[in-house]
Amino acid sequence: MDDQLKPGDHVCLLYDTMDDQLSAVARYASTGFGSHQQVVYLADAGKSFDGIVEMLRRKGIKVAEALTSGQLKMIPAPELYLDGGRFDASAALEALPRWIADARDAGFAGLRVATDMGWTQLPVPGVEQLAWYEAQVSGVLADGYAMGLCCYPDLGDTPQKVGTAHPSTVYGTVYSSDIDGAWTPQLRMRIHRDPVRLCVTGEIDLSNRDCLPPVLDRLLRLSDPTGPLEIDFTGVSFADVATMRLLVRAASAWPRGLTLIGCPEPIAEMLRMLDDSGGRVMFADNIPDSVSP
Amino acid sequence: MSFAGNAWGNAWGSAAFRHIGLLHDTAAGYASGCAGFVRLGLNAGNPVLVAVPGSHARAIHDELGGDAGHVVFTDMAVAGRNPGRVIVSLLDFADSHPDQRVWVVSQSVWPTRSSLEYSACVTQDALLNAAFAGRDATILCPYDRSALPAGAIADALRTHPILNDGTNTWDSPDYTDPLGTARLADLPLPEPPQQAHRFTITRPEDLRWLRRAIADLAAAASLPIARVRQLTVAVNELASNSIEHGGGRAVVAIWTEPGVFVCQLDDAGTFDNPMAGWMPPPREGSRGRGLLIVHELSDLVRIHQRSDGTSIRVHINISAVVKEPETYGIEFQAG
Repeated sequence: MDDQLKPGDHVCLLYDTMDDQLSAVARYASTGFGSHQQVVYLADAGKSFDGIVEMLRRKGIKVAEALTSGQLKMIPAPELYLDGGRFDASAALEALPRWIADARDAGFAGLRVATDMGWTQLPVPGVEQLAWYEAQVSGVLADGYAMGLCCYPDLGDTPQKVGTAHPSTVYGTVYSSDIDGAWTPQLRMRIHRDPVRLCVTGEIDLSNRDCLPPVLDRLLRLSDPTGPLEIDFTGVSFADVATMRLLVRAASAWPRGLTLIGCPEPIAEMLRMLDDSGGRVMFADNIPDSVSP
Repeated sequence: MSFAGNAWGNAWGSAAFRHIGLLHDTAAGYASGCAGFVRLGLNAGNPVLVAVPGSHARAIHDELGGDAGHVVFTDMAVAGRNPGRVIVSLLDFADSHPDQRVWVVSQSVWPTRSSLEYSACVTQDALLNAAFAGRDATILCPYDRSALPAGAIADALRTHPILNDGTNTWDSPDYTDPLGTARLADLPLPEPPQQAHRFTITRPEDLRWLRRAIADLAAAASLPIARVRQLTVAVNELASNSIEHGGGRAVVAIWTEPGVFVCQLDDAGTFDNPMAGWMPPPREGSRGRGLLIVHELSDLVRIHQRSDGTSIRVHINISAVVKEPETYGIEFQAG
């Protein structure tokens, strides 16, 4: 059964066992194969690659065919993340745009990246950059072609605060067993072009708000400075105070302020209460036929 | 009326901020005392705010006659329904008149205040001294000796450095360190009832679920939808703070009392800033803004420092009806 993920999604998946993780990866990959999307799986080299391939095969994934056709790429996670024996977040970030370009060139409808982040439990130099890295990935994915499933061992807490750098977090067993599609990401963010507009749907709170600044940075880089920033808030059902302060700061920093399109009135009311930018946060109705998430 | 007399000139000293308790016994004493004070401000050409319950404002208005037109009136039964919002609103008035001394009649204590509301009023009266220290402001707080319990008058003597009884003005011998007084007003909260719904949250991902649970319970308690949303924002702020700064865990109890929907969060955190939530934090990014919003959205917020952590209780009135201090003991002319 297909999952409910869409290009642009970035999910932190917490797993208890290797089998949990591979069940999730199998569902993720299988959905991608059915949608003509490419799948890149960064598997943990601490385990035997052949063993991982065999376990995925037993879960119904035609691994050999997919590897041959190029629809599946498997890369040892340390090859990307631990090059030189340390985690270099900036270097690791360079890979994602490359994979996206390759997948586009090969004609795939999208790209699904899955990563086993089990290596983060090792005392690796540079691991403190992990939350920053994951938040930046949220920014890259917001372009809406690729999506990411980052599989972290569930150790009861996430010392590097990686969960909050993802728009949504899910337990592996919940994701894998969600055959009726009841689970959807808590937050989705996409940056559309023509006009440049960030479309946000879902709920923003402590669990995911760290991913918002890199997405706003990307919006700032793409937007026309002679006009206001545009964010479609039609689909936002909750935003906490820190998120609203972030929006006010973005509005203050941009020469022509920020227009929130379709902002639900309860959120608009709170924003007006918090807006000390001198009226740089503006509100506009959502016009039918405009860009939607 | 002694406010207009020379005795005032020296009585309140040279401090920039003057916080005066007006001890009165009659409606006439209330009206003439407040109006005399207002005229001092008007005669000095300064901005004047009268923030008293609406039913009381009429008496001051009538006493002032034509001068009332130069005064800003705020209904404290609405603006100060939550005593936690009073200091912010008075600071707003002062900030909107830079380089001028502001004169304010501020009445947040009335006899129908519940005991929890009243202890918040004492905290507010004490912390007002710290919030306005060094500011050019004169604030008069009327206290009705004929209607308020003796304990409330004793508290007024502790929270107001200057006192006036309509005839004389004197330094309060009982006035003491405002932060110490605020600590004394930090009384243990009554235990939540046994039938309260209880949830434990430990992770940021629990917040979404907590918001659903609160919204469902609040809607079932007939809270208007707009208040449900405000409550959800307020409790989300408190729970986020518990996860981030309060030991990573909070126990949330939810119940209803007659006319009130109540949420309490207990965590292992400590409050290092007694002014948090009572006035805007000094700079962008500093903590305390979330609690300020919680005060803004709620009808009452009580914070108790336990030996092993902090309890915060939030009240949202179920009906929109404002509890007017109509049993004040003084008959005012109806509007």
